[in-house]
Amino acid sequence: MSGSEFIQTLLSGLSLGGTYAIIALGFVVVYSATRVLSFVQAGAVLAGGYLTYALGPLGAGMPFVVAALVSAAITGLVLMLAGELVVGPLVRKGERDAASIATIGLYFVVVALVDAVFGVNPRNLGDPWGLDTIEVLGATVAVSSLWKVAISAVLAAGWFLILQRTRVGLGMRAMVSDREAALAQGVQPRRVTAFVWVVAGATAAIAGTLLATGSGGVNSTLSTVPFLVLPAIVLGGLQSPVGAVVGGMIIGIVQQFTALLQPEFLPALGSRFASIVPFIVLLVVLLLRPNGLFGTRAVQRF
Amino acid sequence: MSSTTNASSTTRPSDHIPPRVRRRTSAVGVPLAALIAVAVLPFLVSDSGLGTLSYSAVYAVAALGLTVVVGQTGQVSLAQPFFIGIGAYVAAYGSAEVGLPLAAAIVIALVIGAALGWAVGWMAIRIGGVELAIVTLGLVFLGDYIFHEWRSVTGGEGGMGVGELSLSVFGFDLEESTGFTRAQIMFWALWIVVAIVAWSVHRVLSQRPGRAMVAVRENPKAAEAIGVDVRFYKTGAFAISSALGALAGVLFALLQQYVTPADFDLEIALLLIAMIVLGGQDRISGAIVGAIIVYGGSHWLAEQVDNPLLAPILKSSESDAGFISPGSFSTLVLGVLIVVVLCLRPSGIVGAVTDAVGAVRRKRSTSGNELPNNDAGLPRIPSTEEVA
Repeated sequence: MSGSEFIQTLLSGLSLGGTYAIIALGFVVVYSATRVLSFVQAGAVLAGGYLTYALGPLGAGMPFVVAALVSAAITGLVLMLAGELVVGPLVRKGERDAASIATIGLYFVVVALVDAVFGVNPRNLGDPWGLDTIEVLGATVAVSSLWKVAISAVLAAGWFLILQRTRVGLGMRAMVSDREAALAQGVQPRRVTAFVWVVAGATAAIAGTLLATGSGGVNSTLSTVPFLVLPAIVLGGLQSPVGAVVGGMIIGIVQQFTALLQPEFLPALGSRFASIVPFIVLLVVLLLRPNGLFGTRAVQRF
Repeated sequence: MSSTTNASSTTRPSDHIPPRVRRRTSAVGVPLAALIAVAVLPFLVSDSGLGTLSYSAVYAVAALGLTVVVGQTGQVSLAQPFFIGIGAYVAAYGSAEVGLPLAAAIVIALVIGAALGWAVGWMAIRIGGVELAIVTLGLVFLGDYIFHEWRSVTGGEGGMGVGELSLSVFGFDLEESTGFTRAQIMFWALWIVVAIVAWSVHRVLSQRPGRAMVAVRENPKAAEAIGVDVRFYKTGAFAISSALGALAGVLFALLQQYVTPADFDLEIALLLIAMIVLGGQDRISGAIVGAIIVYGGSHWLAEQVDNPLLAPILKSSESDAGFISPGSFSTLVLGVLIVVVLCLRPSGIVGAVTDAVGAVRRKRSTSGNELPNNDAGLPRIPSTEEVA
């Protein structure tokens, strides 16, 4: 592995990890607000990619950026509706497991609708970032990777601004640290959760768009990616936004380095090895640090 | 299945029993009706319909195993396809390469499944809840990877044919000597296995282990305090669950005669969870009803291209005028069904039916001291008329 290969892989790892981090943030923040693991996030990633395609230059003709933003807005609002109509009532009844399973049902609905509208043929979002490359520290890197890193960073920063600087974010953090006390202080959980659903849906849609640009393409595997991101949220600790970002980054970087190094040094492991790396990282971390990296989670005694 | 009358009426303080735990409604009637249905259906239903119901039986075995973990100990495991896959490849490799007879394949699969399940249960002692669900999801991806890459044993992506696993009892070949079709024999054999598994699970769960598991689910600390070995029962529940998953895998290989990695992927994990939740996760009949509805129902829907009611919506090919492909349509219906059932009745379909029956009977007995799995055995099979 040469120095320039290292930098290229690091950057592509950062770009993939940034997207993972955005998806992981959605999981974590929804979980914090509702205590429900929302599988429908996977549907939001899928729908976001396809909507951007449908609205974008190759579809309805909107400029790419506008299409991506409109797709994010639509996905966010639809996810909020689903969250408030399906997940919210179940959570208020105390049926959190049922709510989580209901999000699997919603996920099936999204997958089926996307398939009904777009069929099985993969679509192409093109290369909105261009195919240019630039020199970074002596290595040739694609501008598109830099764009993806930058967008992920902006989105993550936006999440943290919301969490740290707005009233809704304050309410959410209060609900995470002590739900009853937060209610007693006048935090309105329904406003908080509605807001969280919108932002989680919108950012998931943008993550889907990012995954689908370039060589990725818009296809049904977009909905599998969020399941591979799930280890990131355990790595970071389920309710820790910082943990989600770090976990997503680690998994993205480790995955890219595995894809670079494993065919060379351990070819016997086969071409699919990179896809299970997130879970191997998770197992190793859980063995060494059962709390997760930023864990507030108490390890159970039995 | 000789006895479905629940003789072991247990004494537990009824205030510990959550409201969703219902008393026994009909411990004899429903299983008896189901047995009769199993006996006569092969004479009424086409071979392809029987095939669908046979697959439902396979998934019912896996779902029964999952019920032991999810319904009884309250741990969410997504790993079941991993164990189904192991059982299926044991059967496929064993029969094709080693020449194992069916019984040996079943025993080996049960042992491997139980041993691996024990290991997963050991993990479940340390982590629980959402984290455990995610770690067990990792096993599904790990299995997918192993089944793809360990080509010498699994045949890789293309899969592997199952060798000669004859349907014989004591050297007596059923297909040749009875004159029934293979589909009929498979249907009977698989549903008899479901009945045996359901009855065994019922026996285990209605006695001390079952009570211990419910105690672990409701309050592990209190359970530990009164002398329940929480670790033992958690790992034990995973061992039983995984062994049944592996058994389902052997049956799957026997039924399909060919196994590929795609048969044990993430979708199956989600479908199995959907089965036990739709049916009602804390009862044995829930797993069976759920398997019939989810697998049988969606398979039936996917075949309705020529149905006059659905034909305008469905499209048989990309160029057809319809709106949605049959496969997507059944996924859509399944998703909507999951959402609607959970919103209306978080306790599942069997729970809703049981409640309705109870309301009709208007005799709420006060002896609510039954365990959740009180209507073991085969339920009424709701989709059979449609399949026919």
